[in-house]
Amino acid sequence: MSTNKILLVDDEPNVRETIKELLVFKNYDVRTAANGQEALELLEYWIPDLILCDMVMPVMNGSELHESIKNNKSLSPIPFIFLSAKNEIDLIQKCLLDGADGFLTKPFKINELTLIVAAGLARFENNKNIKGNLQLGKKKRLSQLS
Amino acid sequence: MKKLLSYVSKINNHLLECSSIDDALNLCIRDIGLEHNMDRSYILKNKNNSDLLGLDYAYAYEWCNNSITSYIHHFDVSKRLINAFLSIDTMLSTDKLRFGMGKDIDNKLLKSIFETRDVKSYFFAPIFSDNVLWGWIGLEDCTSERIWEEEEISVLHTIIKSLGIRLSQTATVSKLERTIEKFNFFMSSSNQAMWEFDIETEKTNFSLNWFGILGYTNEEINNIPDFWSRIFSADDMKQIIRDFRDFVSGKVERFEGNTRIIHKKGHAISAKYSGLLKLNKNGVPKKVIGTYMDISELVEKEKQLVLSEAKYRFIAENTTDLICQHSKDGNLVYVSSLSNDVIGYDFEELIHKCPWDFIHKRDLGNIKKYYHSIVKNQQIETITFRFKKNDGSYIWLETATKVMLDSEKNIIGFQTSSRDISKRIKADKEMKAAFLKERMFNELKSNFVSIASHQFRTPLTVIYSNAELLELKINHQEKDLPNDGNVIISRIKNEVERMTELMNNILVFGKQEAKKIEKVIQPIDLNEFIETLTSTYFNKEGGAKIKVVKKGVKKTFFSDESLIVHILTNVINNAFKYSVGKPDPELIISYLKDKIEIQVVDYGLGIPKKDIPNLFTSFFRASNTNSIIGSGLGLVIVKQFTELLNGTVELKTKENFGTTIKLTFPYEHQ
Repeated sequence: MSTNKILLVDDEPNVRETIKELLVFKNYDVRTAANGQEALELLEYWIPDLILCDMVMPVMNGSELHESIKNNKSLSPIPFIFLSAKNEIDLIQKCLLDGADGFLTKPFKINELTLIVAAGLARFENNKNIKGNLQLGKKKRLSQLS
Repeated sequence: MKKLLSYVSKINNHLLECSSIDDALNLCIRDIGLEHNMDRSYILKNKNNSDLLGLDYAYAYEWCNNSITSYIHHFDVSKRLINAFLSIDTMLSTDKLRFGMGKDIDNKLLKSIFETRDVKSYFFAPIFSDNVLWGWIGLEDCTSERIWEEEEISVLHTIIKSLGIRLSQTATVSKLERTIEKFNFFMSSSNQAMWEFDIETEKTNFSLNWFGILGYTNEEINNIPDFWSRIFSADDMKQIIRDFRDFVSGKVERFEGNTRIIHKKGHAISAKYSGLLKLNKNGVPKKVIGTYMDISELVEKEKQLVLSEAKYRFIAENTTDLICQHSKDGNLVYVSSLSNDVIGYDFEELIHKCPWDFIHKRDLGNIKKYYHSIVKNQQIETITFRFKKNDGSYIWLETATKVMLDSEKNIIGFQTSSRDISKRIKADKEMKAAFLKERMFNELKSNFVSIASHQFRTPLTVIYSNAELLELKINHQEKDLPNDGNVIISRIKNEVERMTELMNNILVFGKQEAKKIEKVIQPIDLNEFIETLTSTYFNKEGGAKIKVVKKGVKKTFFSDESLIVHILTNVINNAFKYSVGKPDPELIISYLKDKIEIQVVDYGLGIPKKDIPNLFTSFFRASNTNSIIGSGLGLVIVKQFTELLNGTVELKTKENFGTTIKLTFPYEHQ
């Protein structure tokens, strides 16, 4: 099983480094960006299996990054999880309705983080399989027809 | 001649003695007919006594000799005769007589009617009364064709003239009678009694309506000797007699005034009297005609009016409200004496003026609507508006208006009651402002709490996660634990520091917000003060240093030392924090003429342009400071404290070039 790749976006260097270290400890391949803009630049050449992203950041905030990822066909399937000090229920609801795969409120326990990451990755994997099966089925049906 | 005289006197007798004009005329035509041996004698009466309507006759009176046919009830013949007369010249005069023999008549209509009526000879004469055609008299002889003698014609002429005179007299008398009747009617129903005093005989005649006023019948009045003394009190009598004599002798021009006359039953009646002198042809006074008018009711009403007015004034003058009366068109006709206290005008300045001229133009529209509504609904309504005082300032008045109506419910004016509610309005406004401020403060507070709690979450996350990380590493007995552990511990320490700063600032901020900071003003030697401050807190060995520059002649500065410490440590701290690796910051003290200027200059990050407007907002941090620990409260506190010390803060910055904060304070603190 290959190592899962995670992109962590947060403007606070201490947060960034700590979480990265935690996830590395859990055997994930982690890369970081300080804001949405940096993240997009990174995504041009490195596609992660999951994105963890802070909400309030300079230059480009979490919502803006999420929106531009959702609008990008090749990036939109990547599970996107918000990691924010904001805990207003309205905001969390909005993010989830906009298609975020999770919302973790700071501060959090490491178990919560690993759980939500693992769940996101599993779902992503599952979706990939279903899609593959569908395509396989489609091919089968096509070959049967021909 | 004698015969003629007796004939004329007989006719005149009928005319004078008969009370009815019809009887007189019937007797006259009979006697005229008999006197002149006629067979028919009649009068065609002009029905219209106005020239405008034209002529129309009625066959009104007729006398016929024995065995001669009467035509008075013969409608057809009468009608034809009338038509025939109408065809005779319309230009008539008293002398226009027509006479002759029936067969000679040239008027066709008359000729035919004469044949019907068997007329052999005729005599027609118009009757004039007051120069107006009253009618025609017609005489017909059905037996002989006669030649009319001049004497007979002249006699008839005279007789007919005297008929005319009698008729005009009747008309005059009946006119006079009607006038007298009217006069009496008015007199009897009026409250005005007349008297006529004959100066020569010293006798007085009284009109009939004294009874109604004084309770005496005319008979009683005439039989009571010295009637006047009965109806006047001794004093009034003396006065009246004196005035009357002066008037009759020409000493005074008028005889009039008010007095009291005593009713038969003993009670006094208020009366208004006046008199007119009647002179004879030579201008000598003969009579005095006068009136007494009962004005008790009027006097009573006046009394009540004065009383109610006094009551009204009493209320108006003693209430704290401004009471006004307005005419129908709104102009002021009465203003209570309070006007000076309330609006600064004396009432003379307001009388006959339109109050709209004093009303603030922004309120005029409302006032006009209000006025129309009052006129329409006629109910008491209240309005508030601004009124210009004598000194040009405006006050708020609350005015209630009531419509004044006459007995026919027509609007005759308005009554207003106004009070100065400026204080109330001001209090309302202040209350609203206070409420708004309170709400804003509450919002700010809840915002503050929400942001502050958010601010705490980031260091907490770092601390908690690092603690867990440390735990993980210990459990897994990591080889490089000592090194990794140090990094983790330094992260935790770092964040604890951040939280401490945040907490300190929040506490200071909270104190300032709650106005709990008390200033202790004392003289400060700023040069010395800055020296101590920089050496104690900042200029540590091995680290960056702040360069202090002093300009101008040193002056003593009065301020609060601890607040100045807060302000300067915050500003200097920022200068260091945001210029790591850049040239050392500078502090410049300038002693100006009437103020002291402290500038802290750094050559660090500077602040992006878009962030400048938000720099003094709680928890705001510029977008280029993420890697630098800060609470977002420092500058807010600097600004608030500086203002608390009557100073100002100015900030100049350019991204990547540095920032200058200029603080200015007055030397003296008031």
